Amino acid sequence: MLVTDVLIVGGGAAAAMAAYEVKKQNVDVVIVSKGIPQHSGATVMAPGAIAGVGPWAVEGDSQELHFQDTLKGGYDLNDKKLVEILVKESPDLILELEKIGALWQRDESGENYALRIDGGHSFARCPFLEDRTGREMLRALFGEVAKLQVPVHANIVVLKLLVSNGQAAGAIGFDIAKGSLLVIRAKTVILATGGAGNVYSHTSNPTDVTGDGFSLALDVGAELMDMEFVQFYPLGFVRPASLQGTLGALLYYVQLRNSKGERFMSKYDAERLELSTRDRVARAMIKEVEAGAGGPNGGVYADMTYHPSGYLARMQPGLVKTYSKIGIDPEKEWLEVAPTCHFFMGGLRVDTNWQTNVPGLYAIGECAAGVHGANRLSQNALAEVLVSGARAGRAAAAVVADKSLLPVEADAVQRVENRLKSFFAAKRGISPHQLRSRLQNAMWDYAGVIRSAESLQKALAEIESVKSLLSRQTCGIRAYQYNQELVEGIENYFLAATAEAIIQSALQREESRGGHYREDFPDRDDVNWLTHVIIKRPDGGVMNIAVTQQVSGTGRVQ
Amino acid sequence: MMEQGKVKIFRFDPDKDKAPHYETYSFPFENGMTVLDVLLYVRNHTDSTLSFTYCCRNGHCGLCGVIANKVPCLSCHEAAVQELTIDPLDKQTVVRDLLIEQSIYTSRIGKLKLFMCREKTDALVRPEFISTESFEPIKIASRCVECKCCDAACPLEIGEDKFLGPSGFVLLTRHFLDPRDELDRNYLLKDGNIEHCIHCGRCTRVCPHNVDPENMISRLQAHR
Repeated sequence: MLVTDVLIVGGGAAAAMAAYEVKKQNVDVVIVSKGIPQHSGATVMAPGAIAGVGPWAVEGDSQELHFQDTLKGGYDLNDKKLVEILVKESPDLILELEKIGALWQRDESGENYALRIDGGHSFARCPFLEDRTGREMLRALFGEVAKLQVPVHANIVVLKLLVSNGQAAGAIGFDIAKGSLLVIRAKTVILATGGAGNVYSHTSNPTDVTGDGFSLALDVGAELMDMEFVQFYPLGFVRPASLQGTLGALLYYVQLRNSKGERFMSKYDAERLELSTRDRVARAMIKEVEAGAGGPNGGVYADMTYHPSGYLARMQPGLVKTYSKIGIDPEKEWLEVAPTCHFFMGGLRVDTNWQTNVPGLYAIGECAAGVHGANRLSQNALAEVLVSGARAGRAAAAVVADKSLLPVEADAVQRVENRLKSFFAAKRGISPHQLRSRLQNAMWDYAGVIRSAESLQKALAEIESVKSLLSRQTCGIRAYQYNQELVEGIENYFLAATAEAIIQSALQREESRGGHYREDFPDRDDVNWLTHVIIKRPDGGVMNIAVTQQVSGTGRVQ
Repeated sequence: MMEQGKVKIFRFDPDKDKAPHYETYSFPFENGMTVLDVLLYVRNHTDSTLSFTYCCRNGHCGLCGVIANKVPCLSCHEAAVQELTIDPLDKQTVVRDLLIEQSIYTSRIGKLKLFMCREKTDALVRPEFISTESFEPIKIASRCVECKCCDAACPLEIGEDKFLGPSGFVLLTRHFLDPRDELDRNYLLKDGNIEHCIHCGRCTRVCPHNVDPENMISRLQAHR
């Protein structure tokens, strides 16, 4: 058993940022992570940059503009108070990361940051390091976490959150390496478990991002918000299988063509073509495939052959290296690509300290909702990770002095144990991998880029069937230790809950906005839908769906 | 035209097997597939008990290192060939099949003080000056994803009281070359027996991110 004041679940930059902040307040903190920190989760593969208007800002830029850009990108569904906090607090944290050892790329003078601009930003304002900004954040943060001697327990998948009298009280984890349960008692719990890209067959996310926090928190009474808003990046690889969904090309370096060779974006957005918004491009691609003009693997073609020789190798060296590994010469042939699930705008509903409606339970980074509204502005994810981590870390540390450890439900361990045993009970059941594929394909086909009431009902029926099979999953490996099938099977419970929340929210929202597109309601409807869809699941039973009166949070930046 | 490929995979389950052995599997070979595709194919179609690790699928997480046809590589970034032999990374403890125990490496690396040590940073309110010359090598050293392919390729024995290994020195380089860092880490070079390096360059040849560990070790030796 572990006992601590603040328990942090997750192994990305949000988790480390929160731990650093808690420890600065001289409060006990423990990190448990399903994977090995710096080798797992979404941060480590984040190639982008961190949005923030600090002393490095170019002339004319301001935090007010960053605020407005974010709202525009979010189709006015953002929690304005959270956005205000984001744009005001991100710059100091970008600097703070350098104080603990990160290093952002400099401009030619060496005195200022080189800055990146991407779709939706009015100015270049985002510091970065090559195409591995996320890794640099982790290096600095986990370095500091080690320096401050924060215990980090890798290979722990949390199976259940503990609550007592409606307040967070800890968690029950499963130690993947030892094959045994681990009870963690804590006064506050911070979830930093990321999104759930693996709910879809096509995702850019690493394999361990499976909606753990969404599902765990739902079970103890927390609310999910905006789950219908999923961001699809248009240009994911379709083959080989191992690369399916990982980012395959950059929108500003491609002309998209269908199997007839037409540059089809001219039909959908004649002015901006491939540089239209990501959601429009993704929908256009799906439409072309549905019309029979797709490639053999269900995608369309990214044509990069028009660039001068050597240009791509200079501008996107990492990708060109990957092309050569998989036998594609981008100067001579087209690359087949398809949209891919990239990011969850929705997640746990939080206040300005990133606390959920369950006292003492916080949610930070991608597993929280609110900052991004209906679609996320590029480079705001890494900013959110820092700001939400610091905020929640401070808040969680501040309240522990007045709290004592709460009792643990007597039968909680037994129930978790029973679930684990179920994977070894049957000689013949369904394999976790098979069940995962079934769930992912249903979500991709019926609740993906383009949705309708009809398709969503199909998705729902399929997920109900997947749910009924969860307890019949059976592992081929009969040991508890290092059993990846077992972990996959556990994650399937989280994915099923997440999938259901997405479908229910998407069915509820009868309009199209940002990352959510309903073929049967193709227009944005500000009269009826400047609201949030909220999901609860009382006592682990049926999902309960509600719609708020208005968009949450008021805030402004001047 | 789909052709058949053949892969021989190292199998070992300490719960069941007295000794490691190889199993041979066939797979549909296709140009463009990676070594990871082959492993996934076998696990998903032939034997669900095959154990190996991977996470990001695209070279960032450093978890999917194996030895393919005698060369250490990241399985996600290595093109498959029609006849393959796959072994676990050398110099690591095997848990099961290709899956290696990471905690031994983690605890060794944990002693290297891989964090910045610096007094008085409160006055910093804007980016500090860093020259292009000092930035370049730091940038390259920090491309390391700790996949341990270099350690597997190294002809020296690696471990406590032995050679630290190319990966450990690459991680240290990042801190040695950082002009902002104030901690004297020279003792770590001595403890890691940096002078044992024979500069054969094997580590550099296998590094999937072109970090050039041998050059990093030379830099550190010159730095002392």
